[in-house]
Amino acid sequence: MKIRTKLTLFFTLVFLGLFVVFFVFLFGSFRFRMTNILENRINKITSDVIKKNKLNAAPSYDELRKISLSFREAKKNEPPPPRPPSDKGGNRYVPFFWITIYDNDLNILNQTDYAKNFNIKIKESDLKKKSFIINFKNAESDNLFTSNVDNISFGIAKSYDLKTLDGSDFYIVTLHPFTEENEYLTELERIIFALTIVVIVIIFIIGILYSKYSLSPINKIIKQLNDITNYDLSKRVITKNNKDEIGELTLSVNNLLSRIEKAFLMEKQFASDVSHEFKTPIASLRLSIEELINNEHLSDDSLDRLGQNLEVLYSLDFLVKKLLYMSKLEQGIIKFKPEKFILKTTIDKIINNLQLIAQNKNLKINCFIDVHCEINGDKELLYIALYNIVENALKYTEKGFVNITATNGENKIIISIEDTGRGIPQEDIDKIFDKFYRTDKSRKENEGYGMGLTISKRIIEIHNGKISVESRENSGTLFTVEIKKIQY
Amino acid sequence: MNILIIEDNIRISDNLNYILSKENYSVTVCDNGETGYYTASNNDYDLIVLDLMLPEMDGYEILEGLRANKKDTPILVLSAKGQVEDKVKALDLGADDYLSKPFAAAELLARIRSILRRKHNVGSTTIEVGELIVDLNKKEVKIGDKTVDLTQKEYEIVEFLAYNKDKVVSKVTLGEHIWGEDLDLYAMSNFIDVHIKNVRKKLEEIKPKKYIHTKRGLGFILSEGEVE
Repeated sequence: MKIRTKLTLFFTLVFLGLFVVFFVFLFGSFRFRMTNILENRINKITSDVIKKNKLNAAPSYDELRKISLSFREAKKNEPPPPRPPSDKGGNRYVPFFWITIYDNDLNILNQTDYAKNFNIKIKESDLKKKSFIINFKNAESDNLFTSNVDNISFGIAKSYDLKTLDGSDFYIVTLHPFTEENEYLTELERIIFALTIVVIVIIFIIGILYSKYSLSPINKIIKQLNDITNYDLSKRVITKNNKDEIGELTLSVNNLLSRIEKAFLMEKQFASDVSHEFKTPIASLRLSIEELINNEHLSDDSLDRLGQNLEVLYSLDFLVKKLLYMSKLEQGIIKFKPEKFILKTTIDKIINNLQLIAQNKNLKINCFIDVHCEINGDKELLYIALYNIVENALKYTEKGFVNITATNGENKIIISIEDTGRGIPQEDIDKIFDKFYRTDKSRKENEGYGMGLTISKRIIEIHNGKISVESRENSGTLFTVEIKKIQY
Repeated sequence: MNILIIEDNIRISDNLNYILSKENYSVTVCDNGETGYYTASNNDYDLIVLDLMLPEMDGYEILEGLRANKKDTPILVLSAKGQVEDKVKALDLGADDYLSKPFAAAELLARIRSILRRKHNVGSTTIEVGELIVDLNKKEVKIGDKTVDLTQKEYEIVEFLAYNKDKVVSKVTLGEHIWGEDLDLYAMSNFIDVHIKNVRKKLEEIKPKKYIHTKRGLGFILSEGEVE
């Protein structure tokens, strides 16, 4: 997972957590306050009722059944006690007076008129709660009373455990409407939920943007570093602000690059210098030995030895030339001159130039080239690259054929060169593109110097291409070159 | 024929001196740029063999100076640089030919002969090896009065061997002459074998006599007589 994603998720989760804690607390305290107020009111009503009806001194269940529950002691000039809500008399204020008395087995002993109209089912567990919420929504609407208190859908109830004088438990349950408060709470819940989602989305977006912003210098560095390949180490990473951590990173990376560049340059320079320094002594040796072999006074034995020396010298000469070529290629002295050309022409030229070797060894070169394969690249360099691979195939194949195939893909051109030769041992397959690598450890004459494929690989890399090899010992080798179709 | 060699490496100049003297050229050697330049300016040589990297005054300056002073002595440039740009630069400045180090004695002699023939019309336009005649102008090979039907590469091989007649020319030297320096040793060796085989066949079709001899491990000789 990218650091950017991680940061964003982390931010969002932390905020989500904080929000949840905050809102739960907020909601909880609201709810607590509301129920608390209502509970106090219920307490008041209940204690009034107990006091008025002397419930705390009820002798038995029977006595309890007989009591006509009333709210408070009617004052003399006060209107009579409220009529039941079934009496659809008018708009007079009728206090909501809901009390039910249950016996030990939850049978109703007595209840107010309201309570008769608002039947609730009570569970034993509810009686032990400090207070409990009743949902009337499921009750039949016909049963719902009409009064000044419209459409009660929720109520909050509280139970009180008392004892009759003969020692039986009974419960007084008082209920108070909770509809409006509950609606407030539900609304608050909805607002909190929506707010949380909105805020989280905003924070997520801010997180993405912010992490993108704060990581953008790193992304720039990554992009720049990708551009700075092994072969163009002269570029440096540039950042705007050099004083922060990114600046320090940039400085470290640049220092590292400088050192690597220096090492690379030294290596390339060394190869180039050494090759140059070798040229003059080789020249003088060649001149003298080639002259010497025409000396009539030399014995056959001496001539043989001179011939061997000359072979070694030629090898050295060629090696130096290849090294120099490689080093020029790496230093960019050999210019990359891209142009559009038809691949088949180049391959035909290679086959034409190598046909003699194939004929000499009785090998067949089969060619399956899509004539539409057009490459945008350096014609001369690619000629050398492919020539080396084909020559290599011919060199290590004693009987059979060499197949050259080129297919025109959508984004790239794939060239494969397959032979039926001796193959490459599996343990050596990674090394074949290394300088000086040769399959034959005994290093027979005329086998080359292990530079050809190195040069090929380098040239293909210059073209942003890929070269890969598959091989099975004693059955053949397959080289695959992929070159992207790019406009330079 | 007077040849001036301007070369600071004593081993190379010694070898050149020896090789050219054996071919009956009279040789003068200068081992630094400045003396080389004055010697070349104040004397008339038939050819100058000029190294590019020299102390005091480099090969390019000498070339420029000589050509500026209307000195048109043919100049064969030798250089260890061997880059196309250097070659072009030297030829642009007025060099007649360019040879990169290391080079073969046979190649040097062939180039010198070719320059002298072009510039001074010296030396004959044919080389004769017994009945085999190489016509350098028409670029053809005859045995007696019969023309041998050779391809261009085959002709070049015979011509090069003829320039160095009675001398051993190695496969590599021959290969470098015909294909330049880009070819691999392996390919070169193979090509030369095939071409030599074909040339021999064509020569023997006209006259059953061996002209091109193989010297085992060393190379080939174009010679009229028998070669051990």
